[in-house]
Amino acid sequence: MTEDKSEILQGTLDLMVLKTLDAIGPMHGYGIARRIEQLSEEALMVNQGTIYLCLVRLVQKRWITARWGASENNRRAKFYSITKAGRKQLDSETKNWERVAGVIGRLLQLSPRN
Amino acid sequence: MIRALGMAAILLRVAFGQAPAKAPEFEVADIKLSDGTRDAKVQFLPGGRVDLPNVTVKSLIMVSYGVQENMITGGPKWIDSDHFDIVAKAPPDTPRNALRLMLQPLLAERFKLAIHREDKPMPVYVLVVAKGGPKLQKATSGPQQCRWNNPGSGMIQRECHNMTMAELALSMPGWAHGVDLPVIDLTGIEGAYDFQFEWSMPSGDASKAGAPVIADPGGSIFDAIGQIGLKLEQRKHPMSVIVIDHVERVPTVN
Repeated sequence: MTEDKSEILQGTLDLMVLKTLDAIGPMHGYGIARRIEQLSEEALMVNQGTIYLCLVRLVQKRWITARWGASENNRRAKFYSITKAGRKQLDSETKNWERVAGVIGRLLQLSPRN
Repeated sequence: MIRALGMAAILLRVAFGQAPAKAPEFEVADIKLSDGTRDAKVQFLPGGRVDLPNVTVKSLIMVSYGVQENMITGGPKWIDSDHFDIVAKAPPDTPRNALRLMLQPLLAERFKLAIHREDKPMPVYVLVVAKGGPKLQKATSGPQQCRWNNPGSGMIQRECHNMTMAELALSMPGWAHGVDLPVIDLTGIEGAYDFQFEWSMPSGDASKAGAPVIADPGGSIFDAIGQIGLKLEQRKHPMSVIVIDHVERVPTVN
């Protein structure tokens, strides 16, 4: 059960990174980490290092790609983008979350007598 | 009782000018070269357990010191290419954030990692006032909050209430793909404000072969910040970086 909880947290982080790239477009690792730090606060215990490892993991799974590009002022920087496979994974995970949320929502609406 | 005596001993040592107690460390830690079959992860588990498969020394420094990749200088190339599987155990009631910090003495003891901090001019963005002055509205009341609005035509809008310029600077790197460096507030503007500004979303599908990473076609966040009378400029600014003085490739045994 302990390992399952950790897998859920890692999966949540993967989902947040995929969603960030899907919503905002190609992004540098620093920006991804700052965004998720702001959104998750202490819940996922993320910092630049944990996001860095998440990005390594998602590149290995081919859900995102990393490409060197020109940033503002033509500075060389690495940007991450979501792939077609990553969007498929995001759709599947999102549907799963919505399904679970729907079940919990119905359960919470049940009166004590049900 | 034993814990109270231990605390008393620490206080006595400090009172009499003796060296402070060592930082908390893992009770046991197993480190071995990874076969790369598991996904790279950082897992701080309840009960004081830590499982870090397929991690590099560089990523461990990033996680334990809370720094980004380019804030680590020095060190041999292998810190980014040798992968390790690490399993460690701390007392069961150790808070999860303490587990992260305990990676620091682990690195020092097992990899003989020695570092020091120094200020180094690093590329950052600075938030400054644009020509014509700021166009901000003093915050009325209510909590500090920001939200995303969709004004249509491929634009995205960020609306913030009760936000200081320092908070804006801290938040901006997570808002748009181009802000890929820390932002430092040099506006000199005190107090909290309500404001909103919008920019266009970038396009480009990374799954298509040869797809370029293209900037926002209709105006980036760098253009948009001008709507509130501010400007982002890239400069070099002293930032505290970690300098690796020494590290050993083969970790010592437990």
